Amino acid sequence: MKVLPAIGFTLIAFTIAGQADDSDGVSGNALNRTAPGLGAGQPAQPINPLHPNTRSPSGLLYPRVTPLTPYRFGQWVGDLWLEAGAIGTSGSDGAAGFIEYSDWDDGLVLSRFAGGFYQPESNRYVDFEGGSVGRDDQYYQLRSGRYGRYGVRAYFDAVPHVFSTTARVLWDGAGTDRLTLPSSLEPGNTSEQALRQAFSGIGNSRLAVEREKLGLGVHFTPDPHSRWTLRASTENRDGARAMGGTFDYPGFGQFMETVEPIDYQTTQIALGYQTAGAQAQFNASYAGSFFRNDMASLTWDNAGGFDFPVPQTTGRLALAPDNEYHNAKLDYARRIPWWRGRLTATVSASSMTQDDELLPPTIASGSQSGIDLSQWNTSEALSRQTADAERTQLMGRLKLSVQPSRKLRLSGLIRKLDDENKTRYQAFNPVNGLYGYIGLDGGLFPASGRGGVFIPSVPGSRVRIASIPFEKDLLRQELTADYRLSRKLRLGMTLSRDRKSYRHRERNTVNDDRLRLRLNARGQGNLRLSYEFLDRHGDVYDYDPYESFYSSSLPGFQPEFPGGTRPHTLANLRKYDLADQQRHQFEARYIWAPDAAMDLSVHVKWDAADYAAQFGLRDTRRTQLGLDWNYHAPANTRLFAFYNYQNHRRKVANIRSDTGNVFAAGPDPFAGGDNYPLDNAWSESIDENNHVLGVGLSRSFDRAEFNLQYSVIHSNTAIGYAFQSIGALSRAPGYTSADAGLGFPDLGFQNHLLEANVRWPLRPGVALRLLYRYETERTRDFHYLGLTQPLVSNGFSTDVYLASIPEDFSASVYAVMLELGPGAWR
Amino acid sequence: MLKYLPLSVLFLSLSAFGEEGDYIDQALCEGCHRSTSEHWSHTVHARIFSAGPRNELEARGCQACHGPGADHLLEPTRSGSIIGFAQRSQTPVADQNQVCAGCHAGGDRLHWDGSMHESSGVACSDCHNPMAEFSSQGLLSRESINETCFSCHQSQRGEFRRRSHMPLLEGKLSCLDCHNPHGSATDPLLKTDTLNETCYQCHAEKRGPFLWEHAPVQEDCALCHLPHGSNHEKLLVTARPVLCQQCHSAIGHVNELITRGNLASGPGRDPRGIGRSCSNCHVQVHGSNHPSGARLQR
Repeated sequence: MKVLPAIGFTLIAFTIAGQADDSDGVSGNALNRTAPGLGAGQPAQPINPLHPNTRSPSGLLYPRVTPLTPYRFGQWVGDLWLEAGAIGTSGSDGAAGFIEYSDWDDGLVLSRFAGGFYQPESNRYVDFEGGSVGRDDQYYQLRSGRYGRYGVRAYFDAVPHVFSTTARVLWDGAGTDRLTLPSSLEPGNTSEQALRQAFSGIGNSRLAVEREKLGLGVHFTPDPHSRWTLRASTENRDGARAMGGTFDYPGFGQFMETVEPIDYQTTQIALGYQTAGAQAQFNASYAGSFFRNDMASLTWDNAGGFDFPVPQTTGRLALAPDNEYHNAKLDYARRIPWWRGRLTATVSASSMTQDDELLPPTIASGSQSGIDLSQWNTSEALSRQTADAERTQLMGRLKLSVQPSRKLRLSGLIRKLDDENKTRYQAFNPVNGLYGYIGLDGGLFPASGRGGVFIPSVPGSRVRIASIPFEKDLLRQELTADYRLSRKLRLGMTLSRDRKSYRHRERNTVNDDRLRLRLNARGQGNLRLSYEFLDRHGDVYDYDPYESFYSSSLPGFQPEFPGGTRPHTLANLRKYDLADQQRHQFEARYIWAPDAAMDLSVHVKWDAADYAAQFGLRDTRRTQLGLDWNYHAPANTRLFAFYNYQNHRRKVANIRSDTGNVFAAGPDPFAGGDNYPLDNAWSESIDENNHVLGVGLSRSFDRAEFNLQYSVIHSNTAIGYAFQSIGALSRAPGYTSADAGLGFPDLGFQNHLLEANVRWPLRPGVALRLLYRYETERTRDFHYLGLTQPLVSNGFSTDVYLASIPEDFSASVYAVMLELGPGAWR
Repeated sequence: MLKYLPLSVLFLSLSAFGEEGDYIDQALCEGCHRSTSEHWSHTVHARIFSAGPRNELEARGCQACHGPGADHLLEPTRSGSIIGFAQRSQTPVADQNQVCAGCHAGGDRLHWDGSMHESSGVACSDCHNPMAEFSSQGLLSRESINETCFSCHQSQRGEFRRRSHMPLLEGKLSCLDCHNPHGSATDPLLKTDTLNETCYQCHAEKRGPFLWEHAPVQEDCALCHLPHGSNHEKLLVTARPVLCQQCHSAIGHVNELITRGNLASGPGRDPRGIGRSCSNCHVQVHGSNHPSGARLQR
């Protein structure tokens, strides 16, 4: 007997069963972030009046639910919902931080709309929603289908990303692949005075990227046990953002901050089939991603000219190349007949390819320190014309679980990931038979032995001559035991080893041995405890595994010194992804109910990692505390508050090589030797603290609804340093320890966000919504301290910046919206 | 309690009891749980169960999930008389989850058994509440995916408030864009086989492969980035140049201690202490496709 005539309609719920795999795409925007729920208008009710404060199994209160009022249109039930009005802003509403991901432009706005129709007889549905029509953060979605059979979903979503609104861009053509200097400046032959004069007529520019994604998804359920899905999307990103660019070493030549053009298109396709029965389940899927960049390179005029050696007129960067990604995956799970066992297997294969046409090694011409660049600025100077880069991965995973008793579950897992890097590029010029490249378009003294070209007659002419095909294979072996001590207490233990095999890294093998312990207890509260110990160790650490990719491996190479050539790096330094490490992590979550209408949860985490490294990253410490409180107060009032504290510390040590920018003292790579004297050792300690507090109140009165949310984050990062002597410092003549101090000015970030909404029904189905939002932000970042002008002189060169420093702001948003909802059309 | 259990319904129930084993007529459920069933009637479960049940179980409506109702009808206040999904229920979490898996096994949930959430004792009904439409998708127990996740993962909520963050709190991303909470082939419940593949879903321009690669980029994006938010630009783990100097110490300018005196406000101004720091010159730290980009400067 079918008692529930499924004639219900909801404007906030257009759920399609099992649609978690369709989660990408539209989700809303900042304007509608804390908006009252669509379809509201009556006080929220407990989901179960017999138990007004129903909780989830873990003990968190379920929210209350707003009654819905379905309406019949012939054979369909449904309704329309629309909200429109006007937005106004005040304060520093043009600051990049305020509009980073949102469009708060003043004016009229169709802020939200939705509609949904359901035909009970056929179980068909169609619904749609959208918001901020015509704005940079607009979104739309349409779904239709038949419940339990098929469904179609189309969506469009736009996301602005504003980086700066105060960038001082010297060049014309920002946002294109060619940056040209104003006519008053001659490329490669400017002067500081001419630059200052040029900048005097240049105002602020906006650097932003607009991201627009259009997607389509289809699913079909031919029978209750199987399902086909097809999803496709295309995303365009257009705009510009800050980028670097240089022609020499720092302090020797002129650095200039440029503008990178963004013109990306990414198309993604996913096809899936899944079938599930009582004994076995099977998934098959394919995913493809196709990235296209309409800007293959960025060419910019050199704004320098008074640096050293002879400046180039233009430089050229290669931008992100087109690439393709394919992944095919099979998952299979099956019950096995003994000990209530279950077997899960996965096989996955991926490939990433890229075959863009290569740029010539330089755009420069003429002669630089004895090298004829006309032999390098042509594609004939390439060992091949396209990148022909490829990386493949093959992953297999097998897991077996058995339950010898109702209380005990044992499982074993093996996971293997094979990574193959097929990219092989050799920097060889068939025009002149030379190995190497033209560093910084000629700015690095090409014939010096360090500027990119291998000159056999120059002792120590060690340059890169080939790409390094980094690879990593992974083998995980894992055993887990879960034991249910009682109905309310469960213990777990996992032992695992990740064996990572590297090629062309400092270690060939790294093992991560882990022990995990877990405890889950339910009683008056819900407690989850876990502890993890990681021991990372491996074979011998070779501080220099890269020699075969340098010209020092070629015949005719002459060492720089009688005993060898300068070291690549400090032998005592350990790269922290490979260094021996011991790490302890402890985590606890506790949820309980101080009152029938409250829940309170506490989360604590402590994470300490010690690296066996004299130099490099030495240790990290992370501490977290989280508190979360919810209260379903009488009279349809809900209160919540949360607080979160996070501390992150890390310590780093290094040694400044003794002879400055260019020269080496000998081949000794060790700390305390000629190149790395201990007097030049230095260390840094980073201490970062974050406090986040949030409170909220929502209340439904007889007629009106009100909600208020406020949150604040206060962050501070202190970076202190110590050094054995002034020899550790980067210093110009006359620079003293007092100039260096003992630490950077603290980094700081504070943001307060207050948002209030009031909804006032005018008549059935018609309501007025008032929104007030206030946000204030303050950023302190030493990277921008003193960067008030785009030119920064250090007595040797004058660097060119965009001077787009993080802006502090305080801004308000006011909105008045008329809402036409369920009941307005009747 | 009896005010919720009209006598007439009781009589009706007794007459109906026994017709199909322990199952009872759904009208009897509604008799006591009228408002609850009214909320439920708007859900996709109700629509399928009522208008287009695909099997006998679905046609049983409430009892498709809560099990046979006869015992509950006779002893409505006895805990355990029916399968329950809330905290007060006597039904073990594993058994609750098994009910859901009866229809929702496989697909995205194929790796649920033994996953981080399952082994931590998380119940389906911790994140989902199929009794009403609290969310626009997924029958969640909160109004959105992110709020549902934040109810346990409070630290992530704080991290997304940091200076550099992805637009999750602005409504343009959800946790499900990267994670599959129902289990996956990775520990952090990523949707793809590796962390980098997850990142490349949106940051396809970083995927390469490039002529000249930077080892940690291929190793793990999280070596340098904090995906949930950072107090440093570009989601960086820590400030430049120390971020880079954790690994680099080649002879030359790389291992010099940059200090406050090297800032734009100091006497020894140096690009490494200003703005993008090392990335001012090494602009292509994710890899370069320029034949002269071996040092990631082109």
